Amino acid sequence: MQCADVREFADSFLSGELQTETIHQMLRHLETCPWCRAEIAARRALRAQLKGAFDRDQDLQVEPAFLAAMRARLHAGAARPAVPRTSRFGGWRSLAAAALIVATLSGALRWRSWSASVELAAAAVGDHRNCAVHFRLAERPITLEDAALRYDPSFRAFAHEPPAEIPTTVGPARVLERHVCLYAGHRFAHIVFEYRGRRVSLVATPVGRSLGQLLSWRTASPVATRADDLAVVSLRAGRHAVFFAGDVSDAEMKALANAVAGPLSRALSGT
Amino acid sequence: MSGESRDHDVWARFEAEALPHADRLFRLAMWFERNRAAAEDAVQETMLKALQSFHRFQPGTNCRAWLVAILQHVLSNRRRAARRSLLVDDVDDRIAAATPFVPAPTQHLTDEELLAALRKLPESFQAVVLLSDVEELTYKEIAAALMIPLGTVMSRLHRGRALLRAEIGKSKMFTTREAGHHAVR
Repeated sequence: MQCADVREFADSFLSGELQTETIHQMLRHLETCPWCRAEIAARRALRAQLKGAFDRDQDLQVEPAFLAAMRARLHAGAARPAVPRTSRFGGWRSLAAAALIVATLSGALRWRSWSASVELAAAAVGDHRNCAVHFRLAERPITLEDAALRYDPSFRAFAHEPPAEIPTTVGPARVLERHVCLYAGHRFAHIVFEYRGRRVSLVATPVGRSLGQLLSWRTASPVATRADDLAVVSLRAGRHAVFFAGDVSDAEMKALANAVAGPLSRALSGT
Repeated sequence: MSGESRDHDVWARFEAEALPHADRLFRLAMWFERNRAAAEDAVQETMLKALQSFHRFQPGTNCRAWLVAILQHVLSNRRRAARRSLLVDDVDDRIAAATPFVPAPTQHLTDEELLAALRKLPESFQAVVLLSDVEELTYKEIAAALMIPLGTVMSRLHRGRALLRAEIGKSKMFTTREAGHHAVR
């Protein structure tokens, strides 16, 4: 083997990709050739430095908060697999359950407002399922600030309210992330909590003047029910319809909603 | 085994074997995307796909190589969606074919100089060099991850490393000249 051959095979040699016979020929050459030994040593050092440089570069380091949020989201998705395809009536059941929420909430509504409310509540539950639990949205979520600039300034209020940690009567809820996502035609402020060991969502959307007037939500007090095996609590805050949804008990969900409702209503009242 | 305990078992295996590689995947994604939000999206999408198809992962094989292959597919799809074709084209291969032998540098290099030199390579060459020298994937694993023939991996690696050494040589020459210039002044 000549020096030119060694240079040709040097990198494959360092990667352990050469056949045994070729390795032996190289080693025999290296024993007698200080120039090729130096070349191999320099390439090995360059490779080691490249790996080190890549690992040390600050711009390439991952945020621990991102890893934690991703792990939690994946875990929630793994623990609660998608509705089996055989469950053809899942969507219908969910809609019927959501209808119950709104009917409970709003009492004797006119048909138009009832229909709109049902659709909104079902979308809120769907958003929780698809965004917070399964992470399968057609459109990528955007930041609250982006949504405030592009769609409705009221989204900005959700950047600080509720706060990062909320004490409730049954234990704390911690905010994992905040964003705005689009689901079933509704743009929701979406806040994901870690609460009672589960992933729980607050989804809120400005309902607009006309729908707001149609909906006979006269109270900001949270009203709880269940939909699609989830605890769901609905309330009004400012001109926003707010829903809490998650796989916890009704009492636990109501405790969270009670802790959030007052300050959130005040934060949204001026928007 | 009940569905719930099977899910728990899959998660436990995924958490033990796949999740620890998330930080390395992020570094690769960040290198190519050059945008933290886009890199986080790509890694999250990769991990979600990996979890959904974890039953296809063969225990005992290189989990990181399997994840890197998924990440490369995710990045490739995103580039296609953004109409940025980053697959190696003929121009890159012509550049590579014209690269002469370049000795490895012996002067001291800073990390910044080295990464800046790597950035100057065509992106397809960066990919093979990174997957081989940083991620320590085998040629076969790189071929699977980038969906290119084994021979192409070998030729791009050979040329990519030569180009990298040439870029380092150029930057060191520049630095030496600068230093000399300042010394004279």
